[in-house]
Amino acid sequence: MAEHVETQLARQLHRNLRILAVLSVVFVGALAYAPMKSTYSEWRSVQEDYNTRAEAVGMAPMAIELKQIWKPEIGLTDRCPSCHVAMGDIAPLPEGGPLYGKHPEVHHDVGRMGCTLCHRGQGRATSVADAHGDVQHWEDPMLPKAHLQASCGSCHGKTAKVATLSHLERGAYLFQEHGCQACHTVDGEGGSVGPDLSGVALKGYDRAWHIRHLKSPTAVVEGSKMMSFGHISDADIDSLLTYLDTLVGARKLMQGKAIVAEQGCRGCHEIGGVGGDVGPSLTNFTRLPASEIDYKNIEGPRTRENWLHNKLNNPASLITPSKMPPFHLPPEDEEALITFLMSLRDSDLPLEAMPEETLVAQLDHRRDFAPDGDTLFSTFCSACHGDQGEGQYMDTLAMRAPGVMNLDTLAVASDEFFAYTIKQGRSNRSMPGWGVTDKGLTDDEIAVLLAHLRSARPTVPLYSQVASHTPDLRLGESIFRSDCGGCHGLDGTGTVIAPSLMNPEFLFVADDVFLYETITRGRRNTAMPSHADYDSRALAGIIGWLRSHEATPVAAGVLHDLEPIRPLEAVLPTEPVAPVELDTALTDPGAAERVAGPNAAAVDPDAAERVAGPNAAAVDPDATERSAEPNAAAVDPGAPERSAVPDAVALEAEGAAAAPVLVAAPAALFAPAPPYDMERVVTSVLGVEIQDYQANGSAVYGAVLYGSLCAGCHGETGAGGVGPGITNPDFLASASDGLLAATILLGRGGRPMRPFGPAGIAHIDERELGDLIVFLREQGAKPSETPQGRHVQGDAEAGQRSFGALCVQCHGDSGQGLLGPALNNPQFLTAATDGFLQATIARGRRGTAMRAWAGGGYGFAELEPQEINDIIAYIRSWQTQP
Amino acid sequence: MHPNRDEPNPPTSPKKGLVEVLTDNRVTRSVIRHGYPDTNRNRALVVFSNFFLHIHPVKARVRAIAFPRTFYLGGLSAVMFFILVVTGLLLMFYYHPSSPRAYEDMKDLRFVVSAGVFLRNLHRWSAHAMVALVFLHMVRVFYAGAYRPPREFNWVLGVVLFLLTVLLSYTGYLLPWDQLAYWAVTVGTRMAQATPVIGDEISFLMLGGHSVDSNTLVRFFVLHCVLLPTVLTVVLAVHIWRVRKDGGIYIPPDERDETLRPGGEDTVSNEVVVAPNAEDEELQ
Repeated sequence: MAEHVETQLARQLHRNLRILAVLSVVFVGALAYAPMKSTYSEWRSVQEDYNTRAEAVGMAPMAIELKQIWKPEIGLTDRCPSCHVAMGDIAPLPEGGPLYGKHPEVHHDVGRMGCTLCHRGQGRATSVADAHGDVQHWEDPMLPKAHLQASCGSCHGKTAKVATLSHLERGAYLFQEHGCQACHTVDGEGGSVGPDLSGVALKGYDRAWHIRHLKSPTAVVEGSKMMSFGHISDADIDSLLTYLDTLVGARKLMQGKAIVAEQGCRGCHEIGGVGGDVGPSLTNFTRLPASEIDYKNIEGPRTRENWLHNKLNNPASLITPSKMPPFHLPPEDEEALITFLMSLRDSDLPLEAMPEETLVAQLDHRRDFAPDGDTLFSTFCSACHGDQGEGQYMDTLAMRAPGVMNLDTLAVASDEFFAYTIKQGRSNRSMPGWGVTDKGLTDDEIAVLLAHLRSARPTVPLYSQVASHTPDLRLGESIFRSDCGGCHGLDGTGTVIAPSLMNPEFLFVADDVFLYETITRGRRNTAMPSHADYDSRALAGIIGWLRSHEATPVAAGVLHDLEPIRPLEAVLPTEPVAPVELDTALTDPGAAERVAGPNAAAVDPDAAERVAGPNAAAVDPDATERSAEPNAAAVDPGAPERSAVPDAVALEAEGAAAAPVLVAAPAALFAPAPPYDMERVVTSVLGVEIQDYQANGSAVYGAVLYGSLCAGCHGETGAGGVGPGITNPDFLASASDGLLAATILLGRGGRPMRPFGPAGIAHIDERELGDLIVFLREQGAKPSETPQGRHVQGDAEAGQRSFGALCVQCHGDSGQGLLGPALNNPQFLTAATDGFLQATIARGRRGTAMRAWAGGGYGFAELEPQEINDIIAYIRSWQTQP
Repeated sequence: MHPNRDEPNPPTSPKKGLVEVLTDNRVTRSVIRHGYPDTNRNRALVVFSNFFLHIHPVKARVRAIAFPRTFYLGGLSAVMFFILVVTGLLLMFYYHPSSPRAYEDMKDLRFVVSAGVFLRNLHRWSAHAMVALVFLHMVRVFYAGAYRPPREFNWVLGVVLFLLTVLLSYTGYLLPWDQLAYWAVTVGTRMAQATPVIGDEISFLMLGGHSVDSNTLVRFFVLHCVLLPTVLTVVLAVHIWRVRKDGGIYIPPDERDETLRPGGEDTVSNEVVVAPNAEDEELQ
């Protein structure tokens, strides 16, 4: 049995050992496959092929081995020369193509920089598919030749300041036009007398140096052969230098960057730390892993560049709903844009190997766009507000971006309005706050942008041109009735919105330059828009027409001497003043005052006694006694004639400033000219002619004086309260010192503004005047973050009715905006003063659905001035309700 | 035919063949202290006196070494571990456990190291196979009831070995330092973090920090190449030793017969080659 088992086992063992032997051979064969794979690799056959070809043309063969460019300091191991043999230290074959030929001339030394830094792909790989990166899980396939300059941008793209495409093209045109290429080479074209400018912006770019150099080459480069280009206009030099600034040896990349500025991509997308946040950030955009790119609805190959092509032309097909509008660019522009977009990724280089200029630019948060207004506007604003700031309906956002360079907008909106809006944005709208994040605009850039917005305005004719015309009074009157009458009243006697211009004191103090300045500048944050669109004839006409209403002074000789105070009878009006309606007088203390008139006060000996002013009035038994009289006057129809104590009335008007409405005088109450020589009153105080007066004094004293005399009506800072804003920069810029002084001294007849001069209540002397005016000017020069304006008095309930009848169709029943913009936006309500709203409602916006609502000469008057104020009171009520 | 060391040499024949010259001398006899295993005694001596063969029994039941009995799962697992140790050692010649060198070394192994791809693949596939085989081995042992007394503790050791295998597999996963590795380990440590009370501490201990970085790489490298293999080797030795002490492959009592195969040098080949026919033999 045992014998049998032994034999059988031995036989089986024999058979199974044979199987084992066969399996072992197969296993060894499999083992041998591994080294064989190495032996028969692609690069070996390429190198053998090179040797065959090299021997055929008598060149030395190469040793067959793996070749690599190895730079551990920059983390670079590129084995590309194993196949692209001539890129290493092997001599290129004539007509060797990309494998055996020479690398084209570039700014970098190929042997030092390796291949993958620019071409991308997988440098460590030694098989074609792996090396070129066309394999799964390799995120960085080789860049197509068309977009190769994207790699230039990854390291150098942050330095050049690029303007819009049109700006750039103009620069390139000028470069040719002025024959620069006769001496300088750019991208391989041009002469060799001067240096090659292909990479002039690579190593930092000093604009100031280039300006000096262009104007006087020998001044900055000794023995320069270059001719002076001082004859070129500054604007052209600007374009030329903007073009030179983009010469980093990568024209297509710069073109793409210029398209980004031109198309306003940064309005929605943040690039390099600057831009909006409506769309995703593009900063490290092409570092996005390939696995995270959605190719589902992409037509064509699954490459990044094709994805971008689809995204640009039909954003909604990739992301629904997409806020991005489609951009159908010309193919050449699109290719350049995609090249730029492909460059948006951090470089592979370690920090210490990065170009110094790029690091400096990054650390300094240097801007990579040109600093001019046109570029800024294109970069940040044009995507929504249109290339010319004309405003447009955005399909993808389902809202209308307002026209910010609309002439009416520019006429009524102050710099503060724009600056505040740009900085803070509009919540619940697509307008981001460009000033509240460091991704947005700096204050300087906002100032440049404002200047750019203003540049859309027509050029205001010079005053000398205006003065050269003989005023056409009929033209002036018709323009006044049509454009000014809505607020100033058709006859210029004022409404609740704008003051009377038919005021003798006003017409006396307001010289033609002041009128010209006020009309053309406007008065920021008030209802007075800037009328830059009038030509010189129109301006002359309006000023002349106003001037024609100037009252002739009363006969000379009435005021022989200002000291001592004249008897009242001597200067009383010769004609009786029109009686006041009882109702008006009751509700309108100002009117009562106007009736009795400062005129009377001006010559009232009692008033002169009371010169110490309101405080004195309170402690003066006489004053107190007399203070009862205005009330009596108010209830007594006969009062106007008897009322010789207007100060107390005015006091009441001030004291009760919060409640009563200081409406301007109805036409019936048109104030007569003061019966004395206003010029003599003023010059007697100033000591010089009005136009020669220069205020001189101390703002500190002025502040004290202002606080006690003016702050009650004009507000603590002079921004306006019951009275108008008198530190308004436009007002101060329009008004001469003489005008301010005369106004203070004479007051405004028919208005609560009393005369503070010798004929008035405070008897301000020349020194105090100087202090006060210096203080006002200093106050007006203080910048303010938010627009300052006075508040109108209106009835919100009445306003709601008017709003419901006229405004809801476009602005929505709660001001949320439908066809028209939202009005209940907190940023808008902060930026817009009541004056802005008045002006906008009154004037409308040409080119939009917002029509002019005030009357005037157009023949319709939809809204009375008070109704406009009521509506504003209603709109204002949203400000407190979040 | 060939004398054992303990036996006196037979009278030398006048002619010695080449085989005799090579085997019948003092040096050979000092190394190999047994004769040709053609007798039961010599076969037993082979197993007793050879370090590498001493894990084999001197005699095994025919049923026990039959392929369907064990499917050789335990033995194959051990073979996989052996392959992993060898290929792992070779891979360590090329590998830096540092960032970003680890990943670059992977690429170099793939593209420039001779047979680097083969090494990596062998290591990787063996690792996968070992996890599967160890698991199947456990299943087989479970269904065969081989955990029954007196083998309870060896079952526990087996569970420990399975855990060690899985841990080795997991720690090795990070070493290529690619995205797959990074996220697998991130997920794994997050799971550990979900442990009540001490979760954060465990996660911190594993990562050497709060996220997967070069600290983690070093920790996983040391675990994978030093600590876990050493522990596994020791536990494996105890495991196999106990199998032998408990009488070899477990045979249910009702299937036991007393026919024992002789041990010896050919036991290994018997276990592999002859065993498939052992059942047939019994049927005869």
